[in-house]
Amino acid sequence: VRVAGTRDRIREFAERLLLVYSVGLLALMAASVLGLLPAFGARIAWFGFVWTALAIGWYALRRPADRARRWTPSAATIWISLLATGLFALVVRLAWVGRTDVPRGYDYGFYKSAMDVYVAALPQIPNDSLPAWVGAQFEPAILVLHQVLYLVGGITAHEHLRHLVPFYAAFALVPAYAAARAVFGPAHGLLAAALFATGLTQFATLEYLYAKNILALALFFGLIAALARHSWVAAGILLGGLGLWHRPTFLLAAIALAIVAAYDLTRARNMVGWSRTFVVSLPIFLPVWLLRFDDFFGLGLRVFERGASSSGDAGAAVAPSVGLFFDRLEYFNAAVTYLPLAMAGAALLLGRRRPMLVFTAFGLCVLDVALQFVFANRFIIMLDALAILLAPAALLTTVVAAHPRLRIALVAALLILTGVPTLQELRKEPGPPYDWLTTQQYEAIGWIRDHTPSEATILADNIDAPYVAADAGRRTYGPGLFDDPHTPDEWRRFFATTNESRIDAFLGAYQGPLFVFDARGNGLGLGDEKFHEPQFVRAHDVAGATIWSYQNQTMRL
Amino acid sequence: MAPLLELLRAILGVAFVLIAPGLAWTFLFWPYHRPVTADGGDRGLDPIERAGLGMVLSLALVPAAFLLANWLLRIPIVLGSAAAILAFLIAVPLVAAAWLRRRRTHRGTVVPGPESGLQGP
Repeated sequence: VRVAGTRDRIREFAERLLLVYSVGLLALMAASVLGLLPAFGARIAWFGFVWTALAIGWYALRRPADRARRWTPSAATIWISLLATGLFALVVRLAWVGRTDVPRGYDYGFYKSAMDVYVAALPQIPNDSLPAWVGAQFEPAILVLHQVLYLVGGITAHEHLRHLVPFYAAFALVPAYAAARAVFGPAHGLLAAALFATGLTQFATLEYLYAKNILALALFFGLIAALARHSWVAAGILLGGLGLWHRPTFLLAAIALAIVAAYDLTRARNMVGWSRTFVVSLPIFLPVWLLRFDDFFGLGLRVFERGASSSGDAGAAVAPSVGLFFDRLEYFNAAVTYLPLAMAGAALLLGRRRPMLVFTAFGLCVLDVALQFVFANRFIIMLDALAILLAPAALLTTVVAAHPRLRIALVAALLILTGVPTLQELRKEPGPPYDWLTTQQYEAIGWIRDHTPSEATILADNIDAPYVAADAGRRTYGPGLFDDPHTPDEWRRFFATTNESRIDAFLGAYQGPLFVFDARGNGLGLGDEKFHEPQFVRAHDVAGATIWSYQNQTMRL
Repeated sequence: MAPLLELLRAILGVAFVLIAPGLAWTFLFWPYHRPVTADGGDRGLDPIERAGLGMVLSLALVPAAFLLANWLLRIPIVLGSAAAILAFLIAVPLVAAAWLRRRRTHRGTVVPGPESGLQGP
């Protein structure tokens, strides 16, 4: 009896210590998030939090909270909390999109142009006639889905991207809830959904308009939920569907599944189930991958590399090695409130005797992001999604379970601290890296649509060309973009030259009357010194943008 | 078309394309219902999970079905064929789920109880 009493006192003391530690560190993190600490202080706070979180994980591993002390929210709590978080996510995302009339996100232009190509190809789904850049950059699912939404709902590409994608970005929290709930429980689901709604990283996927990525994550959450229920056929459909949506997310899911399945197979467990999953997934994605093999893996990479190398500094930013998104440090700052908890959650799962999909995928993402193997910055999006599933496991099975009275305060503190950077982001004026054109510059694109011949070709730099291609309704080229006929070296010489005959030789490759969209501001431009009469005539001029009409040799004579 | 009608068409279109097909398939894969408060994972779904999984199943199934219809079966994608494909995607799982339910009822299968704890894989 005496030994048990001592153990209880030690546990009680450890729990109190942990609680004081957690509350103190939450306060420190609050100061860091609100910018009250210098960078050095924030870093110390972060590392302090990491080590504490790992301690929580270790503590949880040694002594997980017993069932009686777990938090089981009531049905009313679940419904009200989910509605509130869903509404918060939706309002924040719609507010962000609605701040300016100019479409937001650099990828808008690529998506809009590709969707227009697919709508123009109706009643067929294009394959052989597909422009090379569309084949290389886009898996077919989002474009086919757009064709169907256009036919059935009359939704245009502009409406889809401006009005529907924010809904996708907000409602992806429902599959996140389903995944965390299936793996851990309803309270975990609630907290995961709330972290998804408030976190900056998932919000940023909308800021960059990574629509495929947003929906692929929702599919990945669904896959996790289906496998947690041993619904092998449903998992197969979702895995196959993922292959039609987004190659990086599919590859992550497929590798993680292969590891977990291999482990199971060595123990002759779930063999029939795994076979069902893989057999069902293959006919969904494999025919498309085989049909588009050169686009996806051959020509695709070549086009991507050409686009990157020929577009100067902005091209370097989208180099295929890391992808365009937060870097590691930015992510640590954005996810500072729950990433350490996710690590603790992963430590908690490490105690399980077999690898789980969430843990394995999280481990793969951590490895890729830490060691910068491939597309590392873009894998931060997947890492964050998995962190959101894991973080509640650490929080709810330890501190919150041990101190039910402080549950609401701790969870509220976590969510408020997570949401502050997102709300700060919402208040920022539109600008790079999410917005590249001013309202006047965007209106100048409308002028092109209304005042240039339909057979005209438009040339713009690599920042502006996607917007022009999307909304001018004219054939558009940019450095390495939209199947431009020039090599990177030819572009470099064009950037630098003011020699009229060299300019004529370069521009002679384009068909129809040629116009140049020359926006001054965020883009690198095309070498402004060369644009002057008589070779170029000023066709339209607004604040920040000039549209030049190119006069070829015959016209100048 | 009046803006209100256009909005109504868009909302119904989204429901018909992005929600209904997957939702129908959830009744085939997870025929049982459970309350939102049930702990851990089991074979049933609560209404929120059903909505989430329905949405993602639609995302997987709709593009796959249209690719199959157009590339393999050479069916042109027009409003009529699109509606037919979507109706097929919705009807097949509902009919199959009803048939399975009837079979279970005849055999007297017991609805599985909730499992609990961490669910794998």
